[in-house]
Amino acid sequence: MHTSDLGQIALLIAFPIALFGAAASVVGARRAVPSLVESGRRSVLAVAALVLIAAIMLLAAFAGHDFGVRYVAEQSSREMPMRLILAAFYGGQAGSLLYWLLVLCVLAVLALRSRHAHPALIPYVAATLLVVEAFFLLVLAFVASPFERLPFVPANGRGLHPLLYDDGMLIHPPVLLAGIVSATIPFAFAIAALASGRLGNEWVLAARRWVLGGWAVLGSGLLLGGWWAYHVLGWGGYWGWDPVENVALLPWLTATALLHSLAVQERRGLLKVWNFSLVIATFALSIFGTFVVRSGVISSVHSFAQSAIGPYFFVFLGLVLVASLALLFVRLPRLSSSATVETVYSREATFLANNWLLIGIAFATFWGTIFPLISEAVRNVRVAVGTPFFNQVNGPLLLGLLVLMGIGPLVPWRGAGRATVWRNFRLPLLGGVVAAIAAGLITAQMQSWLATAAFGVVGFVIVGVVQECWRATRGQQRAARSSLPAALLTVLGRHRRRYGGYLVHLSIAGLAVGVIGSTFFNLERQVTLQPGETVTIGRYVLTYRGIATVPGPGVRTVTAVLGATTPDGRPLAEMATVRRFYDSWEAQPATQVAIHTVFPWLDDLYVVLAGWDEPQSATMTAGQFALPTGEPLAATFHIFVNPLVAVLWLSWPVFLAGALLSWWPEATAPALATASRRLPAPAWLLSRRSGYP
Amino acid sequence: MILALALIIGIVALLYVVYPLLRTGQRWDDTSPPEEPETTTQLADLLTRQQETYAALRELTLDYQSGALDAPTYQRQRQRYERRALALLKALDSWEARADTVLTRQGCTTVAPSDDTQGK
Repeated sequence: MHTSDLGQIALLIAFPIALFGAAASVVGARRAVPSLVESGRRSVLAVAALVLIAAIMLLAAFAGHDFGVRYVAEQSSREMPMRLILAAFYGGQAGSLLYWLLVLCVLAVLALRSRHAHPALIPYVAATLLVVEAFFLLVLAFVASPFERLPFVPANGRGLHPLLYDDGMLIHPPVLLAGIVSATIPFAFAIAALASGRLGNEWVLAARRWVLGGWAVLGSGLLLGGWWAYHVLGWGGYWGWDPVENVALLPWLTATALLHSLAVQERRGLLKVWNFSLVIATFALSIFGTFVVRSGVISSVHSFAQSAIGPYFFVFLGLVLVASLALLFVRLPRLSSSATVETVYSREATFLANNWLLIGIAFATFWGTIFPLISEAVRNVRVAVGTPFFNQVNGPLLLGLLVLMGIGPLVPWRGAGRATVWRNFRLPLLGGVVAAIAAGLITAQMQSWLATAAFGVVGFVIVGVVQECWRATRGQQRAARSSLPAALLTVLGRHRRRYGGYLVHLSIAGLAVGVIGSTFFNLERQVTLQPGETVTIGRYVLTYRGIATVPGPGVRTVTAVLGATTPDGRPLAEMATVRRFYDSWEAQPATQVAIHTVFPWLDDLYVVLAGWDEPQSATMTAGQFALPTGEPLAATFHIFVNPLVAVLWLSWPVFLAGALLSWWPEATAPALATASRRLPAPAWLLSRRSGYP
Repeated sequence: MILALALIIGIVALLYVVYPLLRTGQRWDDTSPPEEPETTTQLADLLTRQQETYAALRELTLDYQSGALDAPTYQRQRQRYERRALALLKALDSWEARADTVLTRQGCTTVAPSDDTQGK
């Protein structure tokens, strides 16, 4: 036996334990047998430990170049740097599924830490999580094992796909996958509520921070994916409505809707059925995404090759939908609410509209993604749905969403009088008009009314948020007679959820600025240049310096250098754009785009080496580029000027900060879980009167 | 060697999982009230609703202080939430009395809350 076989055995042991634990949890909860419930909880821990052993075995196989393991031989090679060798863990089908399962196991262990706060829900939460884990264990142990051995041991592995030879590989896939996996925890709480009949807001309270955390991680994964695509794929953009991008976006959209509608349920007792539906949809879409990426049913630059696991995922997805919707249907009579939305000038009405738009965007994206499959099934012709469809359908919906994002903070729960609402709207509306006029003047030559309107909406959103923060701080300052900074800190500390949300709104406004700038005002040219020739694009002049080929171990690198200046000759940057040819993937060179952000315009100069004459006598030593001599070495470049994309990337830390602030527990909230764990019931009950100033 | 290691891992995992079933006469969880699960879940309900009501009151006050809400609307809504908070406190008092009875029956004594849970 080989050391790596220990990983396979760990998966095989974990599978029956997961099944047993799921059954024990449900039977224990229904028949009130605490020992069974405890056994179920321990199953979660045992499965996590076994999956961790399997993951360590796979990492050890990678680190030790055990090419007898098929997956290791396919995903790594001796020439790869160790950080990429370890990242190859999730670079292929089987490893990424093991990573999926590992993250789920870790999250499951963390979720069960709230067992004292939610004793009636936790057995069902454990059962749901163990069923999902059992499914992945089934696939990993019997269908797509990362520990499958080759009949011989190759001297070297093939290595990662060239597109994955990038440090983005270290962060984008694990973050995105973790975000997708995290949809399982709120789903487990929702199923627990439905199964136990505890249909109040307890599950909402238990799941809300899980939804928020997962949503923030998935959002970060999507942004990181955009950044990776931008600097590696070399087509000048960051989002191409590719099917695999779309299926990762879908659960984020429904989770965004869920975050807002959960707040409506907490505050007004509305939307109970809707929230259960959304949480089920979010989880189902996360499984759908995993299915699409791994089944090979839809072709994409991101997807794995066609494999045998597609039908398993399809059946599992069907079972998830049928079982959870049946449970929801059974509980429907107990989920009605007498509360209503009293006026359209209320936050709940805005949130409801925001949910419709988000679901509209999700549906359009879903439809556009699966339409090729449907057309092939119905007419036997695969009709591709391209970027124009998504832009034309989702563009206006996203603009509407941005408008609602501006309105939401300006209207209170349950509504207010028209005079008050008008007072709240005056300044943000003025801000929007000013922003639109300024954008219109700056971009007068472009004549894009849609972009002008969109900048106006962004101005409306930003001024609305700033006004709200300012007024709340002034109100606190007057009430507490404190300094302005102290009042601001008090407001932020007491209302983290609200102001964290507003920070996220500001980051989305920043994203919108980047998208508007790069969509409406970008420039693009493809030119072939001889060394010393120049090309002008927008307010920039690029001079082609030369090109060189540098052979290296396992890879041949072709580098072309251009000098960027302003029209009056002020130097901006020397830009090197690169193509790499890896020995095992000669036909699929990797691109390294040259990107330079120009201040204060925030234009990205973006240069891709598209083609060249092979140099005969070029050299490159110690980072100094030597011009080749002899024959002229023409090169073809794809050059873009992408305005404001930098704002898009700068929005990410703001997004994270807002999500973290919103996620952090309120300072004055009753610490039910902590108290219940530490004190006998009557004593920790004494703290129940806390929480209201 | 690998096989022996796998066998040990398997046996340890199995024993860990079934251990609660092998014990007799012991509670599955020492820190939650074992004989009154329904009472405990009622408490979770009450505290969830109390937490929501207090959060709503805090947010309402913020809206009023920042001028996003006019005075009559604020007073009307505040009264509504305060009535709800009062009803919840009464329900919690009633729960506490029942919990005391259960604990007295079990021979437990009430422990004063530690400093870090008071007045938060």
